[in-house]
Amino acid sequence: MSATPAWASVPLSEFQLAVLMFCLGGLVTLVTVVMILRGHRHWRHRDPFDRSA
Amino acid sequence: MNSSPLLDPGIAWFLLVAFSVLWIALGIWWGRRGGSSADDYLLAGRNIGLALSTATLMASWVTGNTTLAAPEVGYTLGLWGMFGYALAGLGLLLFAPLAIRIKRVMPHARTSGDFVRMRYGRLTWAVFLVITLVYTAGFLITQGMGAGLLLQSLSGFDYRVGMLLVIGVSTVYTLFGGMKAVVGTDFIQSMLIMVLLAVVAVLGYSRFGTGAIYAQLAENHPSRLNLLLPAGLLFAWNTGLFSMGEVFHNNIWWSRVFASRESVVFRSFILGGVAWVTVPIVTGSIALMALARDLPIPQVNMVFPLMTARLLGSAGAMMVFIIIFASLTSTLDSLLASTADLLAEDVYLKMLRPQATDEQVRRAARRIVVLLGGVTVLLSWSYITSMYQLLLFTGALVASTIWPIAYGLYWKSASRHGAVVAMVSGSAVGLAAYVWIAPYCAALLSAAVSAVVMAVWTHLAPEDFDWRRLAHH
Repeated sequence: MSATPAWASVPLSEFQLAVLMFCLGGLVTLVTVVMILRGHRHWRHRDPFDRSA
Repeated sequence: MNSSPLLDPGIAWFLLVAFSVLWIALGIWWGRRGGSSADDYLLAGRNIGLALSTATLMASWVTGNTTLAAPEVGYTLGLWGMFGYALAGLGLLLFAPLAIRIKRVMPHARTSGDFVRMRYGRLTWAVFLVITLVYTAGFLITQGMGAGLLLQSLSGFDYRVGMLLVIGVSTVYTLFGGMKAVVGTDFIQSMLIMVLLAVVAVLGYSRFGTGAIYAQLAENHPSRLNLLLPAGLLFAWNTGLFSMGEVFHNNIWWSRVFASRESVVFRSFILGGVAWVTVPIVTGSIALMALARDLPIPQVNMVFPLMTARLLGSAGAMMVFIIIFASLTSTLDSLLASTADLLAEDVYLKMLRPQATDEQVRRAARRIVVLLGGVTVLLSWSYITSMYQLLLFTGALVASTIWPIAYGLYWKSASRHGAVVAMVSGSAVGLAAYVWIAPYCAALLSAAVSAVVMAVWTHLAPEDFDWRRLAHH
């Protein structure tokens, strides 16, 4: 591993960093799932080339 | 690595030759039954039904990494390793709605590159090709290394002999049979994997008892049961996002969409995803069994083969040999076929020979299969690093494609400039996280940055894309 740059040297304990990443990962996954399901519902019974959509 | 092989070399050679002959014979037979067009060779005539489609998805997603690296993270991270790895099923499950949209809006396309080029233009396409080729190289290396390690650990074969044999067999039957051979052998391989895994798990837990294993873990390795283990928390969502990046961008999965009938494509991805989730849970739980029993493990990514062989004797070693051999060949054949499809369509036809005939594309695809087999051998020649660490590196790249792909399939406003900046910035941040924070966060941060860039850019500078352009392939 390379030396840690200043921007990555956040004053967090290992556990706090892990909880932060866990929450961020859950949020990104949730937002992605919502985006896909919205898109799927939107196109489900439409013409796949509908210009108004 | 091991002074005494777990499986007698004679038995290992017999299994290897028997299954190799079976796969190659089936590949040649299925190849002769098919038509002679490029679509027949590359996409099995676009007519795969539900059972074959589900089985090929499941078998292709059960990689050497699922059978070797999932137990590795189960062994090192405990419950979070096992369940976190199982979240990789999200990739297949969430691709189901995208697959039906792809099938309807691009009925004549052949590759994921077709979508990116027509939707976002050539610059984004070039960035996408770099990402997918780096990922494919990493994926091929892990499968080649897995093959060498398997035969070395189980039967005392030289690492390079095992690696050459498995890559060689996969290359030969993919070359002769194309996608039809890949899908057909995947069906048999997925059945073998599921049945034998169930046997190993049932025999193992009935022998030692779940209560005893839990008690030993709680007493000697309590951190493996700790759901607040920092490394486990870092790992948890990363795998799900990594898998979305892998599945959403890679031509393995797009070629399955184009090859399957529209009526089955949604259900096959859901069923394949659900079936796949059981595999890392079973192999991970067997790794926990090894930990509870304090079995000496000289190399951590061999925990599943070693544990099964020690638990169940030579029968266990035979079972694990067949499971991993089937996992490796089913993934290698898919990678070879779909990458040949991508290179034949996106590089040979679209960049080098735009006037090439259908027969020339088919011949180019066959040559590329052989070339890829050779490249895989060269890249896997030396055992370089932990398989999963290498794969996590590629996660930093592929997770940056999740939002550009999914957003671009559903929203006409998705910006082409936003897509290319999202892929580049997501990859850069993911790689920085891999090096300076932890490999387990690489895909997560890559996906997060890419999503924000894509959404904000599209909001500020929306496009008005005409979906019919995707149909004019």
